[in-house]
Amino acid sequence: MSADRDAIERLLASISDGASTDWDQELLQSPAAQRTQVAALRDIANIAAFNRGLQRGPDPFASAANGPSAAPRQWGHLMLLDRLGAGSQAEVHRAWDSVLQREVALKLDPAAAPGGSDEMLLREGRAAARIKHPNVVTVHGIDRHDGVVGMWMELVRGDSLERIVAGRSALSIPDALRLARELASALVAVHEAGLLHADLKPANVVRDADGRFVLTDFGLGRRPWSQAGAPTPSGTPMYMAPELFASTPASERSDLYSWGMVLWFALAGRHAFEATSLPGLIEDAKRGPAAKLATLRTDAPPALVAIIERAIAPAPEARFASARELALALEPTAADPAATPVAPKRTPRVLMLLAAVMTVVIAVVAQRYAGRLLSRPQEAARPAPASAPVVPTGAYTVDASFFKRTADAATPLANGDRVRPGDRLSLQIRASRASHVYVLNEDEQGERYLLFPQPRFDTRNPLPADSNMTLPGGIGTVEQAWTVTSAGGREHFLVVVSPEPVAELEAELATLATASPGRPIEYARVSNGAVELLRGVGGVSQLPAHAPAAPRRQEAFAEFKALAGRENAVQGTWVRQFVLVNPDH
Amino acid sequence: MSHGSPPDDEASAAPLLATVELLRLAKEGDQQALEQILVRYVPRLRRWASGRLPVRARSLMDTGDLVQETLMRVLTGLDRIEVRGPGGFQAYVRQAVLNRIRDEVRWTNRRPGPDGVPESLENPAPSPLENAIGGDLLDRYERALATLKEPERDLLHLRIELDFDYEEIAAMTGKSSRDAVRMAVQRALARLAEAMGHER
Repeated sequence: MSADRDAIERLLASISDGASTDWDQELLQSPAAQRTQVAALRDIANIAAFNRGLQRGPDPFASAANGPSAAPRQWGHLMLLDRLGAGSQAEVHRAWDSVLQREVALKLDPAAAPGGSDEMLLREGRAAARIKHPNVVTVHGIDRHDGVVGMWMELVRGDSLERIVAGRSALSIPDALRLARELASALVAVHEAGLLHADLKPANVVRDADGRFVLTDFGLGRRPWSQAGAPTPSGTPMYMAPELFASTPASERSDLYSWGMVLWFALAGRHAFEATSLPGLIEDAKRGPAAKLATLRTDAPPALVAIIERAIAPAPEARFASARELALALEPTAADPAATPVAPKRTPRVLMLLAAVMTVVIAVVAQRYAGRLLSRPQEAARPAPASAPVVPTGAYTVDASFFKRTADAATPLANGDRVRPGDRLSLQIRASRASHVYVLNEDEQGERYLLFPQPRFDTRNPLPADSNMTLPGGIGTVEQAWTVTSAGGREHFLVVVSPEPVAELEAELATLATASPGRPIEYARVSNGAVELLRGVGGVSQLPAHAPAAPRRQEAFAEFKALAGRENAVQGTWVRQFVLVNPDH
Repeated sequence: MSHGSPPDDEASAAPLLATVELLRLAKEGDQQALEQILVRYVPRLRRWASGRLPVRARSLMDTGDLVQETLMRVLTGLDRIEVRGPGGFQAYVRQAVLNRIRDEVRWTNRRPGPDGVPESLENPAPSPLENAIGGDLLDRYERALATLKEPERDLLHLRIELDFDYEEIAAMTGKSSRDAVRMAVQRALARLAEAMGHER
């Protein structure tokens, strides 16, 4: 119990000192007996953060005198807290999102497209919000209030690459390789969404606590076709492609140049150019760096140095043609095991298990709670079954429905129903025989995740026969739900029921890290193969031999039958899809 | 994540006499002591109050004026304040400002609309703080705060609401050190959390 007291004292100190705390995690980890106290502390912390924002933010009484460009205290549904940074045009604030009930980063740009089309800005924001990539900051939305355009996005907690290099000098080779690949992958996602970043620089790359590099700070009005007339160069000169100084519009290739300059900086520990004036810098950029990266970093793989040098070629046509081409060129650098970074685990795009939603059901002492969690690693790490016999073993029935959950009600959902960020979902399922149940989610980008089972859940496969089971189940004594965390298109779920374990899905599950208290919940990414396998089993019709090529990734779930309540005479493996509409406006 | 700095108001340059001492001097007619109290509290109080005043009411009266006027009323009624020190004064002023805000909101609601008909008596647009955390939670917070002892309310008001640092609070409340303040704030927070938990 002393550990519990320590935890409370740590939280009290964090509120008193104004330190940052992940309250979702604290609530999940706290023993049942302390959860009310922790929830109250979280509420006080929110109030304290709000007040701190008032005290440390711009003077609200100066705003009237400063005119409409002054940052408002309240912007739409967001309450400004601390100012995180400011540039020549925009300010970034830490803000409280009263809809998502979380802190977000809010970029306010009073000067964005003055007199320009709101519609175009909003379209760009929506395009950015559709980018769902582990190395690109998640944009929650964009809007205009009181004449100020703002974009609110995931608050990435970590250090910028600029600060990392300033504090520790150059990156190690494995870190630089990871940066190279993750940033290239991020640019692929940005460019394929029809956007440019146009201000890629070390200050806009943040490394989070998991070591993931995240590209942040989308600008507004930087789409190539949004530049009318003679464009004004915008960006950070040290990382700007030389053609931009000659009023050539920004392009994918100019983003790739910035990528190369960021890598140069990360490896060398300093800027590539030493000019002290803008004209001098422009001349330097036309010639390329005077120093050779291979000389400055003799330990750098020659292939990486060659890729960077091609990316920063002064002539755009000498660079890679696209971010995808760059990413492909980087693939061989992953072959060196010593330099291969561990792929980051990530949570699904829209649905992630996050919140303890229902009340504590059973009082369990903290020791037992912790003991149960700690006892799971061996089970989580158990080897996947060697095979997945999908043998029809007699008919059975399956009854399954999705529900939207609130504190006091569960509303059944039908295929095509709408959900919104903040909605909490669960699946109620009952089979007439003991079954292995799997729930997969596919987002609009075609990314698939295994939502259930998870090593940390109390509810485990096989589920018992003839029992109403609510998934995902609980952790400790607290029932959980899948929470919609952001908007964007459609959410496809695949529900798989099988009398036997499905080997491919079990194999995905086995890739998860072992469970331990406090570790964030991770989801197994589901491979194409596992989903393709599901097409040919049980209740789903076999693809004919002459079936056309595999559908586009976005449609991987689309050929399954829709989930529709109770079904009798199920044979073998049963697979159904369920679709919810989750529009981004 | 970076943290901003507290407002760089003139209070930070003023000598940090204990509030109870300033109040004693002010009661004796020391104009400088009176001004120090105003300079110390007004900038932070008005920022704090700006989060409590509904937007619709705010247009009627500048929040800064509201705060200054309230503080002046309190200070000019010094004889009626029981200076128990240390503690109590800040909580007293806080309540006075909240009462003044409630009066302002009530007045706003009863003001005739453009067509001469009084507008709704219901709560007008919520305050920014209500927008951020919800009215229910704010009510629970206020009720729980009211159950604490005055020195505890003072500490929480100074630290959690006005963002004074520990050294400033130590000087203002006459506590021995920043660590003593830090511990006292944490104890008060624990009691507040307990009271809020019981309210659920």
